[in-house]
Amino acid sequence: MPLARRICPIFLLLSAMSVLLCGCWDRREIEERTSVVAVGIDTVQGHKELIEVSVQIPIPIRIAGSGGAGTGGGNGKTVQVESARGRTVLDAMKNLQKKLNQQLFYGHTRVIAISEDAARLGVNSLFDPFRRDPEIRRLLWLLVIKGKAFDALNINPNLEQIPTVYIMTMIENGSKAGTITDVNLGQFFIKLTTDGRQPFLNYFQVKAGSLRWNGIALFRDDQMVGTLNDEQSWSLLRLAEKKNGSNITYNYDNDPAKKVTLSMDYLRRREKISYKNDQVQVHIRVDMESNLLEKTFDSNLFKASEIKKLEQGAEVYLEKNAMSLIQALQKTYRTDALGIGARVRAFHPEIWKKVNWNEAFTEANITVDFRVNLRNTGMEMQ
Amino acid sequence: MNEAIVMSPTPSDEDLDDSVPFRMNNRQSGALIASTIIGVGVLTLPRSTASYAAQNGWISALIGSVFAMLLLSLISTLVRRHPGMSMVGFTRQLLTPGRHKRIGLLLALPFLLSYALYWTSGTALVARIFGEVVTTTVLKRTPLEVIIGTMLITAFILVMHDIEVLVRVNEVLLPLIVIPLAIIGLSSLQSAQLVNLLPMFQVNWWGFLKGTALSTTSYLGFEMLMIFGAIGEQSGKPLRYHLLGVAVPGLVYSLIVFSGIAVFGVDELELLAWPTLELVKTTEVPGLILERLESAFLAVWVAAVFTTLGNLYYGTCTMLKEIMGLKHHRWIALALLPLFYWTSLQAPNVQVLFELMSRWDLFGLFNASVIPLFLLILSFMRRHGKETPHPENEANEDRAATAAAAALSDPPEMPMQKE
Repeated sequence: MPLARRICPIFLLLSAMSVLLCGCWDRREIEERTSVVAVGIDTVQGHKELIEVSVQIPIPIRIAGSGGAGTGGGNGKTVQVESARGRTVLDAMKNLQKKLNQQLFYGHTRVIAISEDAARLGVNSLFDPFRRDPEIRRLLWLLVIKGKAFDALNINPNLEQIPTVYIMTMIENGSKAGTITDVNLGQFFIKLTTDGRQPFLNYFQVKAGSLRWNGIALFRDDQMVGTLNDEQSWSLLRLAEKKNGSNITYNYDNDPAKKVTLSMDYLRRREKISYKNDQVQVHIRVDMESNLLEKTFDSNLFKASEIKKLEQGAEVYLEKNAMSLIQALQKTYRTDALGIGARVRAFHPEIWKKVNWNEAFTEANITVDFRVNLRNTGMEMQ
Repeated sequence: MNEAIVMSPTPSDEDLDDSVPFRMNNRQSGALIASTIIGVGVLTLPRSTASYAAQNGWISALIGSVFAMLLLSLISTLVRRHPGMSMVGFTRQLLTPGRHKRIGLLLALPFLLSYALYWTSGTALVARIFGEVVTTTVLKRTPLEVIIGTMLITAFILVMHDIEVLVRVNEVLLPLIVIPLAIIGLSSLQSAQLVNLLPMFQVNWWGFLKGTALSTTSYLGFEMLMIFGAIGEQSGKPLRYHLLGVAVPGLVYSLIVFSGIAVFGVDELELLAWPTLELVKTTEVPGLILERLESAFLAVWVAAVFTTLGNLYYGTCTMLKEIMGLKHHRWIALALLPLFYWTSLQAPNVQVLFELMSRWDLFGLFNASVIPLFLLILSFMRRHGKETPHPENEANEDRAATAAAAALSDPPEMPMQKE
């Protein structure tokens, strides 16, 4: 009996261990997996039916801190970029796999870059596999590249070891500062499907191995239709996303020799929508606070009228940019990137039912009123 | 091996059989109802409600839970009129003309089999949906059969135990299911947009009412009380706890639907196969160790599915046991296992599965509304159960229904008439 008592627990323990500890029979070690951190999608010149997919793969041993001392330094590249062609995105990925010794894992993808040409053809067919694959995050960054997306994966920023991390932090910090839109894949999908709200994405340019934000790429449904310049883009961020946009530099008194730079903070937006004269009337009022950052001429800032004049100059400048944006959206590209339609649908369903928004947006009377409050002039009094 | 069992500090089934028969207290019966309700539906609910109620989806989920409470109070009343009896017992009793017990059973059989069929197919469908989610989202290389088999065997092990084990498992798992769901619902609101929730009440009323009736089906599971009510406590305020058992899932579900609509908007929701999972994927919890919250969420969800599956399984077994007049349900459980497995693999793809699921929901709604109502009317007509409705008792029921005053002490036990 005592023997049985002693053996039984041991036997139970052993049998439990044999069940619990053999859970790794089909394990996949992390070294056996090649993670993709960025995907680029390009069209192929001269072959309309083909697309080219590029992937950026970090090389763990070259990344400092991972133990491979010595090899990390010098001009050894920390990532490898591979690309292949195919008839669809997955077809190209399949062809890509042929070149590689290990299975690619797309679950860690943080950036998807598409070339302008590909975006202009329509993104629904390109993004379909990303919608279906449960491994793909909805929080990854999407960007449109002027020229080839392949080049964007090949940039060589020395500030970060992995170019993708550079792109990520660029977008994250830019959106924190309010100068870059932070549209991720999930939000892009939502804007694609929702009525009355057209998607837009960050538009980047690659020049001499470095990446530069170059405005915003506009979409009508799933096709890219055009781009906005910097000032228009910041106006779009102010009106559509309540972001501050960048500082503004404008001519004082319309004199090109006199320049003023103001910061833009604490944006508040109010919108009035009504329906008059067979036209949707939209009035957007934006209140902002600002600080004087720079001024290239002398003036007496102790005078209230002088401050008022600076504010008015800023308001005129902001309104001019906003109107040029609205003109571009309504007439040139005919796309409601401002998302006014969604707000008409939500807050004024009676108007939404009356009109066909795609038409009504281009004919709507949209006015913008900026109010700038200059709060202080920095450490300088004059 | 017998030695080990004797040595173990926890009482085995044999011990329990000797002791006083287990009575489920009111809190436990509420927990049983709640954790039966919360199941596979969590993942698809935002899409299904948004598809017929658009922006009002969350209101329709809320009203649906009220409908479910009304139906549950029918069942609860029915069960309390026939204390200590499960559906099999009182349906037979109510349908027995005079002394012809055989005829009573024969007449009761269609009702009972309708429920048995409903729960059997339910068990299979739940197992299949569980398998589909797991294979499409996390374990992509594992065969569906293995996932379904594992889940069914786990449920089978639960069913082999005594009823007390089932009840306590439900009680313990309920907070582990509800709290994470509520956290996810709330934390995903960080990317919510007011625009997506408006306009409200812009759908046609007929469609909205139909949608609300349909959203009642998401709360199916409360009808398990028809079986488990037999072991429920008679004193205290059972109805209040039963209703709470629907109210908790009602609030959680409405919150999930609210977040889903607020984050995705109706148009996007309709494209998502498992919207709640996508909701988890879009949620970034700052400072969290797990970068991918969805695996943690799925772990919670497994518990939710397990309780639903286990209860349905147990309910089916108990019902068949009582119909056949057996002492134990274990052989039935064993016989049902391959049946569940086989049935769950019948749908060829997810689209057909969802189709079947919606038909099963309607079947369940019929079972949970028409049959209890009919039986309750019959019960009143035949004056089974309580001899004469005692005024004091009536007042007590009213209070419980409104879930108000809790100050008064328990009412005295009513004299029960048993046949």
